[in-house]
Amino acid sequence: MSEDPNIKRFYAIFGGVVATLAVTAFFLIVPDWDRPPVESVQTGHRGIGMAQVYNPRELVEQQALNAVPEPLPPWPAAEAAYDAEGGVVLDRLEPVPEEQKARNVYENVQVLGELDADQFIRLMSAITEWVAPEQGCEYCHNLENLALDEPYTKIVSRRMFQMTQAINTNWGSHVYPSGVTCYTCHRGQPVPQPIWFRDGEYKTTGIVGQLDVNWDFKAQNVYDYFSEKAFEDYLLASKPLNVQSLTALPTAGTPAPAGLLDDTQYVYELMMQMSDSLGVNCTFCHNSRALANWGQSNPARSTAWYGINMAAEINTKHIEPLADVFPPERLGPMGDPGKVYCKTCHKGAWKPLYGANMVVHYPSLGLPRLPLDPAERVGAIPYEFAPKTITPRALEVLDPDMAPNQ
Amino acid sequence: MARYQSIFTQVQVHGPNEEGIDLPRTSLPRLGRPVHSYWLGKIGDAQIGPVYLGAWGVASLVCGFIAIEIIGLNMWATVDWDPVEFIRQLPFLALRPPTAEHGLGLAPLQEGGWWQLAGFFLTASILLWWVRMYRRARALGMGTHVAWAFLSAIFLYLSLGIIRPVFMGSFEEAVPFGIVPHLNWTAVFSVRYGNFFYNPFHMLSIFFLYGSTMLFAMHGATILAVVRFGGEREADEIVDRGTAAERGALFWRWTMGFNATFESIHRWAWWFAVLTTLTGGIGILLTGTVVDNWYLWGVKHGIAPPYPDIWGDFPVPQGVLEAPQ
Repeated sequence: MSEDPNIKRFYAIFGGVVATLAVTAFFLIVPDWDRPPVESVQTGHRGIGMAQVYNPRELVEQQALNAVPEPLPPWPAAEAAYDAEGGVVLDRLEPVPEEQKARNVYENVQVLGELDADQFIRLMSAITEWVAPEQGCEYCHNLENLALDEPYTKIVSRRMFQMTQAINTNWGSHVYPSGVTCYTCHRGQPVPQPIWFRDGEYKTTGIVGQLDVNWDFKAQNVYDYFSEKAFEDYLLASKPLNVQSLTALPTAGTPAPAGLLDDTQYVYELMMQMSDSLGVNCTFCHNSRALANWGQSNPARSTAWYGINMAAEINTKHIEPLADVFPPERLGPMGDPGKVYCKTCHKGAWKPLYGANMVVHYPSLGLPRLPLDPAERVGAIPYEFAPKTITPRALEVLDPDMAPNQ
Repeated sequence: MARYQSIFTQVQVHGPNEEGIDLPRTSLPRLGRPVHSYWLGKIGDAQIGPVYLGAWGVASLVCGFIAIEIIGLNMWATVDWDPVEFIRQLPFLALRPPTAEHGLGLAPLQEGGWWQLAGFFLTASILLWWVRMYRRARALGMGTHVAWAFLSAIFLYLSLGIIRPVFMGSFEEAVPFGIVPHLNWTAVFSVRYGNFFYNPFHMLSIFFLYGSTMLFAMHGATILAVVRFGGEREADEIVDRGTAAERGALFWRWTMGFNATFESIHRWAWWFAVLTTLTGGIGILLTGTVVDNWYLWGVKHGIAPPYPDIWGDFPVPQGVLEAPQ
């Protein structure tokens, strides 16, 4: 080998340059960067990082996903309105004559029977648009006999009506004033997305392999990657979320419960999911220097706290009991129905549909009220708080009515 | 005349291989024939090898190999022995310590026993490597400064992996193996114990860490800048100050009013590096044992100031836990 040293040198330098460019290109292209400009909005005292960061381009994309469908033409009695204090005056609803009630006009109307029959049909039309726009009535009804409790989706939807009413009437602490409708989660899909299932049993491969890992290797992002244990613990089993000590020093005689460090990891995962679901940073609710401290938190934390409790109630009271109703293909690896978490409704927005009030057009789904208990009332944060948490420019895109005057 | 103005090494010594002195008869042999590398000569000595491992080095490498094998095979099993997934998921794969129920006892292999075995062999490997560092320094007639600095880092490692878990009575408190998992652990650990930034020993550790980098830059730059006056003979100039030492000293006296000497700057650097992990380890050992919530500790001692509340007083939901005021 008598190669010219200059050629060797050239190859070495050329190789080095190509390798450097390749590595640079990899780090520029592969991760999902947010290019500037991004917008940040202060949400707490200055200088302590209490801020929200928004990518305005993503907000525009998100806005398209959160368009609110036009309400169907009202039926005459639907003039229920909010009174001056924001409470709902239900007694303005005109009483329905007995023979006009849905339960007397149609057979087997168990939940919505008190409605005016016309109003009932209007609601059925709306839910078809919200849940099964392509499949139509037959998605939940046997077209030969609409009164039959088949297919299984009829039983599911009956339970979902009860759930929607329960959310609107009992969970004002989380959903006041906008309330929820079927559309809040379904968005035109028979099975709302995203949902979660209990983790399957982890298969070990002989002598090595651990039991406590259960990751979704097909996940497209890191939020879906981790196991569902955080959901099982906090959105189903309602384990206490408090993992920090309430005293500076360990208290003699009361050792911290074992396993708290492991729990912290799952609380962390739940919080990350929540942040992703709402499209917000930790500081939307918390002051990150003292995550547990309520006095330094933003009021939104209160809404979120009720939200966690609400999600747990939805999962345990309304969805898990349907396990026997669903066909196997709708169930997860452990034979459980798909359950909700924050993103099921929020879909990346800090309020589902940016707080648009759809339910006021369908008051039979239950009208959200301010909770009677003043402590619960704080959870029901009026919409006026929202402008403080989102940039003026982004707000113009999202909700022109709320944008400050130029 | 070599030029020192470049920030890249421009001097490469090529000559007969440096084989080292004869080893004592009881020693294992040195391994490998020396080679010269032009490119490695750009950043260090161009001669590569021979390597002396000796019994301690061999034992350390064997233990290290076993530890890496245990960690790697467990991670690979996690992805069902799929080689592609193993590479793809490697940053996220973990070998976790036992859960709390096993306390300090030996856990079944699949429930943290592998972590204990890997930790044992990794610790053995590190300690054996420390002995090797110490003995090689002695064999060369050097001081043992490097070994003691290394021991400071080992102290932090042991604090995290064994001393603190023993204090706390559970291996659950120890750090998992894995790239992202051990980073996640630091975040979770800080949250669990009420925000590590209020841990004064964490503060000290950060101070020494950042201070180390600054001292390193100041020292390296100063020596390069005075090499043209013979300043590369640092050790000489400790006791026999020449114009290089004088100019370097004067430069810092002019710019910041005080200067280290050619001797003391090395002690500065050594202590800053050693104290980084020493204070860090103390901060770890105090956490959960004598302080349970660093933020509340900070409030108690006046280092966590209150901020004006812009949201006004809002009642918190009933039933949530709140630290007593």
